[in-house]
Amino acid sequence: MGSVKTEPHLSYSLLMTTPIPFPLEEAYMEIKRQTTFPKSFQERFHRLLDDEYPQFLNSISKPPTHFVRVNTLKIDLKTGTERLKHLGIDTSPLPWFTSGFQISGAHDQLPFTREYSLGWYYIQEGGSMLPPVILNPQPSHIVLDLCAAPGSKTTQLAQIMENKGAIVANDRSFRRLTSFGHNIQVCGVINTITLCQDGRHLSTRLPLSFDRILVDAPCTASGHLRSKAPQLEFPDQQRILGIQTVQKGLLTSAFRLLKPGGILVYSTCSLHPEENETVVNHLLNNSSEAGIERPQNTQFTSHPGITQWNDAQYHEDMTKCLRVYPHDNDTDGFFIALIRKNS
Amino acid sequence: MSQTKSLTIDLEREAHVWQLLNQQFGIPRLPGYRFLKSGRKRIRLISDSAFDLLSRLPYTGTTGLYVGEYSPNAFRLSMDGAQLLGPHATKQIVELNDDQVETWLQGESVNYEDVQRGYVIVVHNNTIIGCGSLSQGKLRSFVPKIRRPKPTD
Repeated sequence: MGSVKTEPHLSYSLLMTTPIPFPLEEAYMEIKRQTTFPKSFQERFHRLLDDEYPQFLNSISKPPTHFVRVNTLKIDLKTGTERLKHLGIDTSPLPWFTSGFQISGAHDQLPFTREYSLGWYYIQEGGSMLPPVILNPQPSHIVLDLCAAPGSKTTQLAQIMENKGAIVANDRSFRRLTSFGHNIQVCGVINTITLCQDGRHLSTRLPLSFDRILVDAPCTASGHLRSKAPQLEFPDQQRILGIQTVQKGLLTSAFRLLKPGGILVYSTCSLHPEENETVVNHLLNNSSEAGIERPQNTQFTSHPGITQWNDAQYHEDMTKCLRVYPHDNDTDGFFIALIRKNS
Repeated sequence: MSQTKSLTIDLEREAHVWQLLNQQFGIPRLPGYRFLKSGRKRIRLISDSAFDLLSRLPYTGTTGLYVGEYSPNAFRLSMDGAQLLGPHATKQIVELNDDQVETWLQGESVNYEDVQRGYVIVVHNNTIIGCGSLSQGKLRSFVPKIRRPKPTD
């Protein structure tokens, strides 16, 4: 994909100092916003959010929130939740996933506990729990997770499926599959088969079709504005378009592997329309069998997908897609499209 | 197809693994589970739906969960294998106290006097935490280095 050009920005971490009393704090936050996020980035989100832009800016300037998933393949939910309290970790349940919690208190000690080593908990961002919930696989299903590593969503899918049925978990990177294997083992997942293939070519190589497919595509991760701000690179348009080509290839390949009547979730942790609506629109233009559906789980706040961006006009049904902004649920940002293959 | 074949164990050996689990721990043959081999001794557990799918896949990577090591006379459960299959066990179960569990999870043996011998399922606060080997008043730990709780400092 060639070299990556990024816009210069000051380090987020440099600006993280001890709390400053109001009204200095407000001024400090404003400086942090202006210096952390490049101008082109700010303009882009201003256009997307309009009146809500100040809320968005406030939200991404706050320190990241922390989340955990109780792994019910290893421990029942009640014991898992009680144990978190015993460890001094305050929990607040996520409305969209019963085993998901926002955590505070002694949450930073969790990875050092025996319970964590035993695989009772999986640290996973709250927004990242949404795509598997919306895919909603059943224990009898055969599921494909096309871009599976490092395994957060695969292990969550296995948890939703109660370790039954089958998940074919694919990732192109062998290196990333090493950590994937560790996570599968620690979480006690037994219904997963791993493949190491380029997802764009999988439809020509696999003699199978699937009930459910998750395409959590590689992206610029622009939704991770809070949790990964210090490491985030702000990509230029050329980089975004390069990733878009990969995303289109992955979605097209995945859709071919879907059974008639089957459901596919396309998700990214990016909020750029070029990586989301443009990609889904490309599928709709090239496959008459593809139809977007509005997800049934409405236990979280979201915005509809957009139907226009720059010169591009998208399909009307794009409003059924979900844009989850950081200020919606106090999570990272996500884009989610639920696509059915009509028979 | 060769890799898929190399994972599959013959039905006789699969039956023998269940037999060993039953003899050692009282774990009955459980519906919905199948075994695969991984290397010479290692055994992996997989759901039957995933097992059926294997024969239709031309190539696979890591499949199922590593549940333990097989030998003709004994089966040693892995930490996760014990957690998954252990709830069905009726014998060879030992309970550790708070002090013992900390030491044991760090991979060290603990003193444990019991009439039982051989591989045992280790329990703490009514929760299965792994599998150990009991002999001559010592409970040996098989907790892998990567799974030992890390010190906070």
